[in-house]
Amino acid sequence: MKIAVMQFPGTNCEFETLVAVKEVGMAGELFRWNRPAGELSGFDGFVIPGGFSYQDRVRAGVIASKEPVLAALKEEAARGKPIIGICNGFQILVETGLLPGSGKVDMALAQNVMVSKGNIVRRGYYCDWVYLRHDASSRRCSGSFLIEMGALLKIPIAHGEGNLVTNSPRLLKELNDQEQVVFRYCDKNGRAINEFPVNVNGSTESIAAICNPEGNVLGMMPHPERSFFAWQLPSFDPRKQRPDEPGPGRRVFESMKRYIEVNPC
Amino acid sequence: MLMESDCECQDKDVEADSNAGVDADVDADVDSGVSAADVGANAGVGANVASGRTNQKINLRVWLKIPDAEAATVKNTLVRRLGFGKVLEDVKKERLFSIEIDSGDPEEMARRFAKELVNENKESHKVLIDTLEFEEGYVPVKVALHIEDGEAISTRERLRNRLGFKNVVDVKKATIWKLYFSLLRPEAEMNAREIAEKLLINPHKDTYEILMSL
Repeated sequence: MKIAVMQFPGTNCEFETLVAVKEVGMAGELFRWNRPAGELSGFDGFVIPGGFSYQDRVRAGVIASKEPVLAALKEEAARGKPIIGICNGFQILVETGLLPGSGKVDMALAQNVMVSKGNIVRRGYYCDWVYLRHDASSRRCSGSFLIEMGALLKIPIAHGEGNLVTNSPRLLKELNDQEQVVFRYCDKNGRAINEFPVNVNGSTESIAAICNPEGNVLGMMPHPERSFFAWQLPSFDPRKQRPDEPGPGRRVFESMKRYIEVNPC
Repeated sequence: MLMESDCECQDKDVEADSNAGVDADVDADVDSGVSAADVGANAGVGANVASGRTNQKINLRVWLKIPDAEAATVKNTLVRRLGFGKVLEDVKKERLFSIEIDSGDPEEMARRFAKELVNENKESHKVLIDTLEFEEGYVPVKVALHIEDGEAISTRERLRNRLGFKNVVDVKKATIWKLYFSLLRPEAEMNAREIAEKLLINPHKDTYEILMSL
């Protein structure tokens, strides 16, 4: 089971992501953006890690989305292979049209706007530990295949542009109706409160992750590779004292592996 | 939007002068009894009804005088990835601050604003009062957010509340992409629209406008 961890100029989470891929028993390999795109067909799945591809020039993800490897990834996605985009990877998938999945750019991940009690309390880059509520059924999406509906994951975020916005009034209804909203920001009790600090970036309906209609392509702003091991958790989390235990982010990579086993292409 | 100056408005073109003698006193000459908060953040030119004075808009065009890596990346992407190699000759970029004031001498205010918003070590600028014009030879494409622009709001608040320019009514920001084509205007403009829609904007947060050159 071979997974390509995509690497663009400015990607900066590829090595942690590669470790996570390998730890769950998949064979991972860094795939530089300038390799022949046709070589991607030899892989069973793909992760586009976080970072600042092309320094976020013009806007986050758009320059990488024009690279030939993304055209090849579209073909692989059409074959049903899983793709997980994390943070900047999510932004790239949106600019490519792979998410929400019509092939067109149907939404944007705009600059964070943190709102509390009707006031904007801060804007822009923000990093913190957040709770995510899994709002899709298990097996709905490649990156949450093994995660039950309603489960909570504690995973860090670190981004300046994760605020999901769209001009399309139909899109949000479709995303909700088709269980394409995979994760929402929530509090420790699982309540999605559409205000900072629970909604950390002002994202519409507290959406943190979405998948395409087929479920094989997932984009998420939080970084599961940064909570893959319990020792990565913050000091105030008691699980940190049990460093050999898996961290919550591991479930995303285990899900991807299981998805490939169940849905071989 | 290209603003045509009328007979009431000044049409001043103040070239950047990093050595301009700017009065450090930022206690703005507010002769209006109407605060910016009263006028509102989105008030347009002419909104300052109480004082009977027409608000003026200072357009501050700012560009890098060192190489602009972002413009180079845009050019490379357009030429190598999006098929504009045969018609596109160059890409340059400017930032545009449109600052609306309800009082004070706009030229003097422009100098003061430039001192705060422009880093003369790496940037040059040009000021246009109540007009926005561009040179011949390229198609200017103005890209701005149609959702709330947090940076513009922050700039307004910084000018008003931190730096004391209480006569600032509104600030808008935009990026001007200057697209140089080997084509004449009608065809160049068609290509500019295509470039804007394929690369320069995400329609879910940005809007664009093809501006006129002189």
